[in-house]
Amino acid sequence: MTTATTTPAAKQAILEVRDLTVSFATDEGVVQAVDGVSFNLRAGEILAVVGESGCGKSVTAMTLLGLTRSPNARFEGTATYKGTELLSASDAELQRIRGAEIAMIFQDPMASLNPVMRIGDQIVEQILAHDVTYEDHAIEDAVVETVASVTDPWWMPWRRGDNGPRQRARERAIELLERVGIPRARERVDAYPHEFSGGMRQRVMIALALSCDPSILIADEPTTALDVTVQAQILQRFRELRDETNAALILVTHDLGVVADIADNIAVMYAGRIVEQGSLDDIFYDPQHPYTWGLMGAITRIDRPRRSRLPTIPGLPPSLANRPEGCHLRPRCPHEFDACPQVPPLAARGDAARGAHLDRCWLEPERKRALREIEPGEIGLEPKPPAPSATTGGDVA
Amino acid sequence: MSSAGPGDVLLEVEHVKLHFPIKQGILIDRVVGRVHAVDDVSFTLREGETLGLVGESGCGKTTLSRTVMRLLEPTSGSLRFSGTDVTHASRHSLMPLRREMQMVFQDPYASLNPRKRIGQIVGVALERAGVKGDDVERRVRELLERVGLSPEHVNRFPHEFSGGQRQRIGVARALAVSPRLIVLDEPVSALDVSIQAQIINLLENLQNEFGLTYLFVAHDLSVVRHVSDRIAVMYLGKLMEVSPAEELYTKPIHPYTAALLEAIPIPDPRENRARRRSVVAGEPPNPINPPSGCVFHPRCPRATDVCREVEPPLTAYANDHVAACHHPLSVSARELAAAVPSPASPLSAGEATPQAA
Repeated sequence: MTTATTTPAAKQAILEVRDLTVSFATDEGVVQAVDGVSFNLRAGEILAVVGESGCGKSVTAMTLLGLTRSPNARFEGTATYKGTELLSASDAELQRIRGAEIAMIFQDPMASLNPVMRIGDQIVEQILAHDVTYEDHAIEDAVVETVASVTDPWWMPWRRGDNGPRQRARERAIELLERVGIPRARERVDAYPHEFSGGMRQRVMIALALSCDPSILIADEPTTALDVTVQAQILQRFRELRDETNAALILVTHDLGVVADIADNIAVMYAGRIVEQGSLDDIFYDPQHPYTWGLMGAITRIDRPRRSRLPTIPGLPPSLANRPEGCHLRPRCPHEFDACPQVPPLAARGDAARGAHLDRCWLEPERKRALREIEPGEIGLEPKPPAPSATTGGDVA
Repeated sequence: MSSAGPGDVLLEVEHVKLHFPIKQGILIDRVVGRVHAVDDVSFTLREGETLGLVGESGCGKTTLSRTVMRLLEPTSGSLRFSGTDVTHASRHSLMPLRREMQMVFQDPYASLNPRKRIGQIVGVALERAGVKGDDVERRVRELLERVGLSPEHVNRFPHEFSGGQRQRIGVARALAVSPRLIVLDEPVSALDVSIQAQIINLLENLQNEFGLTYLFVAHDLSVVRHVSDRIAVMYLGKLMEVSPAEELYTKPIHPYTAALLEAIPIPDPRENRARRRSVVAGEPPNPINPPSGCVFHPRCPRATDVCREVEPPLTAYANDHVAACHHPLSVSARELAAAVPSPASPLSAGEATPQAA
């Protein structure tokens, strides 16, 4: 559904998510973290999931890998990866898919690498975990390696040779580190994570994620912790990898600059729901949902003259345990009207031709076009003329 | 202290260096190296202006801001606040100064005591400023209201607030003592975009209302642009460029500034596709052993032999635009001829200003 613009009929969806709902039972009641999320992902597609913190974008990503499974979590809907149902998959099945088929890159590379393990060993571990031949000959390999470690002392380097899958995995680790742009990879494969800078660690995470040639990469805010120059390098690397391996990428982010740089399609999430979904150009040049207008308006752009004040989205996102009835944006939206207490369906509105551009807002497309333009050429959420007390929106819901 | 009008120099930083020693040894510590966190930086801050300080992580911007606050003592150089030399002032003599300059910290989750109520957090600052009795509570409520929180929140704990609200509390605490200078260390980088805009607008309102002077530290050039009158770009402990805010974006002189600007993705797909981008390679070098000559030369696309050998002096161009580069960008031959060495230039820098190629 997300793409109609880039699809030849041959491009089949490799991941289909239908009405995914995730709720957690907590002390404050049932938290609906994800509510009826549907999307398709094709090979080679880069889908950006955009939204503020707490909108459910990370939970959506983690649920696909079964990382949110817990006794207090409830899942509904389906998520089908190449015929395998991910939500009901057994732990063993998931274990096979995780890393090998769908790999994840987390936001904070320091927190997600093992600090007491050499980075090469971490990659080797993952390769071997998914290496069927390694499992089959585990005992033999152990023997071979033990013998090798005794008969291959460092003072007899000529006796070092191929001592089994571990050695091959290590070679592959070095190759991967080179591929993600780590200089002197052969020397640094034995370094610990703390010896690397933030950008280098994030490259190690990417190498780790790529180690088994996954068909889907899920990257949760992969560049948020990095400096802009390093961010540009990493995004460039993602683009090259997509072209080389035709892997699909789900990019969870809040940075619309990054999105504009790399995404093919966008899903905008708010309070657990997708409120707007479409191609990159649809969302940027014809945003239909007031929340998307707010996000667009709040961007500071370096290539435009600066504005006297930044348009904001007044107020705060709602608590997921206690979301407003109907459209969740209602309390923050200046364009609220009679229809809003009803939940708007995610549907294509206006021109039928624009079938792949969906949104959840009751407003008529004509009216939206008039409302979203707060200044000529500027899209935003604030009503014209701007409210004088736009900063005092900080009340607890 | 003497009160100064807008435009007067409030803070003078002259050739400030801050080197952290690296010690090694079992019984006797031996200094085996130094981290050149801030390496000969000079600038002035005028009453009522906002100076943006940008750079990549590890460039020394936070260390510099803490030195300005005198939370750290400079290794050499001098710091003058409102005409008083505070470079080596003792803790005791700094006490009155603390009322004049305040800080808002980056992480709103770590900078508020989780066991204190909001009323206490802001109230302590007021008591230090000499407010007594019932006035404290009244002032706290006023301050909370001023920063966009509800006065009923005085009895809540920090964990009951979101990131943006906590940052408002941090601002209220800084405002409590009616300071003249507020050092903002990445005040919005931990917040969501829509909340960032709220906090930036709040900071601008407060500045207009109270005539505050800001030193705004950030790594995000697009946010800095919005609040700053002038912007200083730092790299590896040194100032690379200081410029009027708008000019930095339209006419970057230092190749490092240009590289930073180019690395920022433009949130507009068409323009982004049309833009020719050269991604600057590599990462900032180690400040323990900075490169010779210009510290940016290993990553610089324009580097030549002179860059490897001679540290470029900060050179003043038209319009108070200062940059330290042997091969400046976007300056005409006439501007180049009119350029003069800036007094803010590091003492170790070469003498010659850049020449037309």
